Amino acid sequence: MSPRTIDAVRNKLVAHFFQTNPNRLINGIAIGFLPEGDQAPNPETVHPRLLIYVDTSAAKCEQDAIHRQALEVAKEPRGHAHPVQIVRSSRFVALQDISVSPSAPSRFNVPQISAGTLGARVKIDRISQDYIMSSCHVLAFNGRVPLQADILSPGLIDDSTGGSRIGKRSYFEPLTDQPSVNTVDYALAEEPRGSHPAATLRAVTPAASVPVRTPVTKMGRATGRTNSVVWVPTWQGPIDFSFGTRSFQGLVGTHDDHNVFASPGDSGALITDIGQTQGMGLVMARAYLFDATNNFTSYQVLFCKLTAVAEKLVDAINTALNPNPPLTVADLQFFVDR
Amino acid sequence: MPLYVFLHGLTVVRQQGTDLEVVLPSVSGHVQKAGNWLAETDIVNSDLTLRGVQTGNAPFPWDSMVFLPGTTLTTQSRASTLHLSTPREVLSLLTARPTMPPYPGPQPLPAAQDYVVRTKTGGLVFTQVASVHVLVYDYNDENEVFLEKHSWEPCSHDGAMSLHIISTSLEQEGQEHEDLTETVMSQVLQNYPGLEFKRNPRPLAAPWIDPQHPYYNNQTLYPDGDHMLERASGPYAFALAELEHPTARMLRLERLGLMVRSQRSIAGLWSDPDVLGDRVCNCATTGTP
Repeated sequence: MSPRTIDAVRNKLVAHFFQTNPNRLINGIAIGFLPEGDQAPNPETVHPRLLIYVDTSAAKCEQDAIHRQALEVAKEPRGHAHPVQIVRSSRFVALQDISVSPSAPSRFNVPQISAGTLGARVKIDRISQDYIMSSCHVLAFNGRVPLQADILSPGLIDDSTGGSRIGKRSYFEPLTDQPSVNTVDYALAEEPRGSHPAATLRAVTPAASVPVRTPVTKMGRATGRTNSVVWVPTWQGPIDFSFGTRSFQGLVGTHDDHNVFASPGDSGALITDIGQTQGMGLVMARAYLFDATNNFTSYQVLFCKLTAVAEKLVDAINTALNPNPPLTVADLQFFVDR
Repeated sequence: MPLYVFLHGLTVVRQQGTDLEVVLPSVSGHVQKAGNWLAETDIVNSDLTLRGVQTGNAPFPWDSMVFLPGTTLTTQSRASTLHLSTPREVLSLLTARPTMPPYPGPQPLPAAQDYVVRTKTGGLVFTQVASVHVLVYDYNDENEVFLEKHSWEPCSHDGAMSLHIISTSLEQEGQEHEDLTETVMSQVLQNYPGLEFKRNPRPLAAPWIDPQHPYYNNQTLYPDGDHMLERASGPYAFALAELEHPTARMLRLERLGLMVRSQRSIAGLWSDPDVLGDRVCNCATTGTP
């Protein structure tokens, strides 16, 4: 019997720790390259590892038990076994910025003020529509923000008098509470057609893949222009939003040491390659990583892939509008502001 | 999908048809808060209404609280009023009884000592009083659940949500405050008979950290790690620690700060037996017809 692929073992770990034996101390399961201790990751010589993110509240005995179970699941009948690394971490928390308002409406179940980043623009000529793209948890709050609600920029955190109405809440992908079926976190705001001439925009193509060691950049409301590197090409686990916890799969992670790549308010920022020609994904969440003695070692930022967003968006529009022929991903044009 | 509404502290409940009116009396020193666990915010409006939940048919468990027939609600001395619909179920948890197990034991208490609360006229005697009531509701769409006129943002975990209502002091209070509470209750309820809580010793509620305690008082829930599960449906419901009295919680969090500043281990802060859980006062759920 040939050894299982690392993806197959990862799937077994996911099934074990998230479904058959749910363990609240596990903050994620991934495949990637992360340093152990102070050793910098060197993918030239290190094979990808199975990463199990264990909460910092776990006692040593609990962490050891998780490690033993993981090794048991990853064990091969003979020969090669995929390495399993325990990563001590906080929980992953969504990166919108929220605040309070003295004039909250009486019908109310979202943060009084929520701010994020309007990361990209989407033009769809086939249906003659222009949109601004951000995260579901920034613009839609999983459906709690009514369709066609006004989107302001700058938001009320940055301008207490309220900025301009730049669009209205449109399509979004609902985040279900079923285990590990969410793959994207996006929402659109519909803006007037032609609001932004082509000369003010830079076209971005969804990247077909996001390999390890890809240098990336983003422009966010909170931290502005920052750069990082992809070290975790596939991550799966729970993310805490203000409206609840949702499980995701297929996300991508950076590894930032003590450099702040993204912070609250950056959700929705479009991550691109350094040349800003290829779109990688939308900023979603962040966690803190720690060493074995609970000393902080690094930030890790998660993002959902732009290709997955494009596929979900096409499905949503086809379902809502039923265009003939149906839209394809090729009908979507993505842009960032110059 | 369940929503759990926790009533902590001093409330007066009236059930009429499918409506529950929950009054939070205005007692000096009390706070009135609502929201997700550990993130409750001040209630600033006089009337709040819970929307988006299904109406159930569970009667309020008058036998696990101080139920005062012959009284009627007034409109005086209210900090706020919650308007709820009848829940699917009401959990009466952490019951206080005249003594801790092995009561009643071989030597039952003399009748004069066998009470938790009694009216000052002696006409009514209550031998078990739950220290927290949890109202269980179902909802179809969590996005439609809200507490009208309050900034609660419902937060779901594994399909369950919690809403905590706090109406008590966050600091330990003394006899003067208990006397004041009696005065306010006589304004909130017409024909209020006055209550006398047993002393020397004051009965203790079952500790929130011990679901196996015989006075924990609900066999339909069972613990799984730090969480309580409903046997029938199985999803995570709420954490054991959500049952802790707000005053004890405040003391615990203050101590957490001290422990962190002194770089001591906090491993047992939420799990070890702790005298802080044995908080006693006269803030309880009171019922009126």
